[in-house]
Amino acid sequence: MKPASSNRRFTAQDLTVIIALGFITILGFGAITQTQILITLIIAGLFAASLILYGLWPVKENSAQYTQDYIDQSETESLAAQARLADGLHEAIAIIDTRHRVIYANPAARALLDIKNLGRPLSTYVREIGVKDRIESALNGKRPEPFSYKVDMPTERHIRLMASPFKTRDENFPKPMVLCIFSDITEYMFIDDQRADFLANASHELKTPVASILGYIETLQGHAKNDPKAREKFLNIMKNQGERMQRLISDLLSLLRIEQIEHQVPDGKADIKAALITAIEAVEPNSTKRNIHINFTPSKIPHIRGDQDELVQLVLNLLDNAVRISQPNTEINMSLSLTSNWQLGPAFADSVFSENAQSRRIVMPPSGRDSYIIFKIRDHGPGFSRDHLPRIGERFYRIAGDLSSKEKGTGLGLAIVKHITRRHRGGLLIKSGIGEGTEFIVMLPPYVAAEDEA
Amino acid sequence: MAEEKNDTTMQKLAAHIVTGYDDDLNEISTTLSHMGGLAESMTADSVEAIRKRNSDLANSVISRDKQVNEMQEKIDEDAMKLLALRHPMATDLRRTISAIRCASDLERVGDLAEGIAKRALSINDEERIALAKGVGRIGKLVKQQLSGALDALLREDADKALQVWLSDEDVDEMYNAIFRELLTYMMEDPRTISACTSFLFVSKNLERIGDHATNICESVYFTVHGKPLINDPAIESARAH
Repeated sequence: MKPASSNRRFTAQDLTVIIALGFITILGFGAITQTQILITLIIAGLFAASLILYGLWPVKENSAQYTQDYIDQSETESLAAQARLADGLHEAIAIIDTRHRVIYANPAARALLDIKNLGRPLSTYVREIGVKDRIESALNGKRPEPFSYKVDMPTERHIRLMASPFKTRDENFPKPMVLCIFSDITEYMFIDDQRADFLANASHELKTPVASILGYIETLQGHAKNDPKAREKFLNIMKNQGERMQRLISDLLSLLRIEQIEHQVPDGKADIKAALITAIEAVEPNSTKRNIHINFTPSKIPHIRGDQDELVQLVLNLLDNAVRISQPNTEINMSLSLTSNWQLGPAFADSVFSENAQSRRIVMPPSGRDSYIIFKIRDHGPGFSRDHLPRIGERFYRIAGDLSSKEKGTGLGLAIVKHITRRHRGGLLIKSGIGEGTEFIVMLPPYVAAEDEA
Repeated sequence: MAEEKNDTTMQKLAAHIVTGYDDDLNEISTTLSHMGGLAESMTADSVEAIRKRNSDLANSVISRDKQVNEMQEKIDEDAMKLLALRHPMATDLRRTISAIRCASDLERVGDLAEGIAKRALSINDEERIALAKGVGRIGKLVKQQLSGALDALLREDADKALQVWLSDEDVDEMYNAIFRELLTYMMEDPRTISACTSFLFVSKNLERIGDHATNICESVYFTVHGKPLINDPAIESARAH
């Protein structure tokens, strides 16, 4: 905004004009004497002064409007700076107007609440009535207590909202607004919520091997004391049980860890081909012993947006399972491919299964993405019956009388696979038929440099 | 000058009309959102009441059903007003119709959750029985389905709706598994029959809440694409695998 001409300050420029005017007057009077010059100068000065007095002369003033103008500009700048500042924050920030519409959301808020475009009511993203009440009271100028609520999709999350009244100094937005800060408090809540559940499961599972070890120790202390043959046998069993406990504890710990960070999408680069090769090397002693042939031809494949260690764990768990349940002299087929046009329907189109085989989505891939790296693994083991399919991936779910409970399984392998896939925002599908074997399909998002989505 | 002024007045008036219309639509979707939130929490809490043997929670679910009914009436009324006064067209018309349909689905969800809560009260009176885990599992799945359907509804995300719609198979499968499990218990020990029957009703109610979630998904699909989901050939191929 330009300052108005009537409100200018008196400057040197103005003085020159007055003096020039004075000389013109002198010339007009045809004066020569010093006194006359002085008098005419005074007259000219008075004339100019009266002009100023009546507001006809343009005078520069240090007026209120001048400062206002300056502040407006700096305020706009500071608002822009604030917005930039909020964009960089990890906390999710949103501004809600009187009509409960989201008029600003920083990238963290867009990701947390899954906001695609601004201007829609907050109720589009949050269904809790408690949230609406908090916004309402903040619009009335109050500072409501923080409010926590829970969401189930895409993973279980606890979110805390702090709403406070908010006003800009910009005259274009005179209405009250609400500044909302959403924080993801899943990690803290998880500890409270699921620890009890987790401990109950874990202690139950650990009870069996401990009881068995104690039983054998008692026998060894008692009547088997001097029987070297029995001692050898019992020590072996105890060793097996001890190893089982060890595996169980390490599986439990990794499951706990993944569950705690499941709501954070990994943002690193991971090489699935390397993960596969590592996994194959790890199961090799076991598979060659039982003459199980693992087919995998490495080819060039893009990186995955993920965590390398978790990826190895995912692949290893699936491969280890496959090797364990496969009959000797069979083969396991693995493949990697990239698809840019993912469709659910033809997922198992290339697989050889009879009519009786059933498929199920253990982890539903998130909507809105169609480019995935697909990892397939097919074994020729006993397969699952359809009753069991809905429960695959549940922790500690083992099929009664199957090979895995007698052997090495902890009942956590597929649960870990499930949670890793969920954390990577991928998909996990299974197809299985009795006597035909099982095929798992893991879909993982490829790594894109500087990906701007959540 | 006068013309210019007239122009801005017209613009303001037009903006006002559009804003009013927008507000009306937003009002309906906001009520729908809160109704959905209420139905969700009732479903979750009714299952929780069984799992934790918490009769107070069950009573609170029963008392909340009235609110859901009131919200349905409000949505019906608002939608009727919108249809009568604003004559919505195309997407807006489908949006309004689908709001009415979803409200009636959510009202049924509220009733079913209330039914579960009433069963919870009678189950909690009896001896503790180790069946609540299966019900907890199907409850969690159904709650997820309902949340997914509501997410799709409010964001008008047809892909998401389709996904949830397809996942209903899992609910059915799980319901069948629980049904078989309960039958075995009843045959083993006839003293558990009354508790098992209650659990059977609870599972059935949950399964039907899942069905209402798929109904909502169908409405979303219709709003976005303008054609019914069931007749879409793309679905058949997605289902065929």
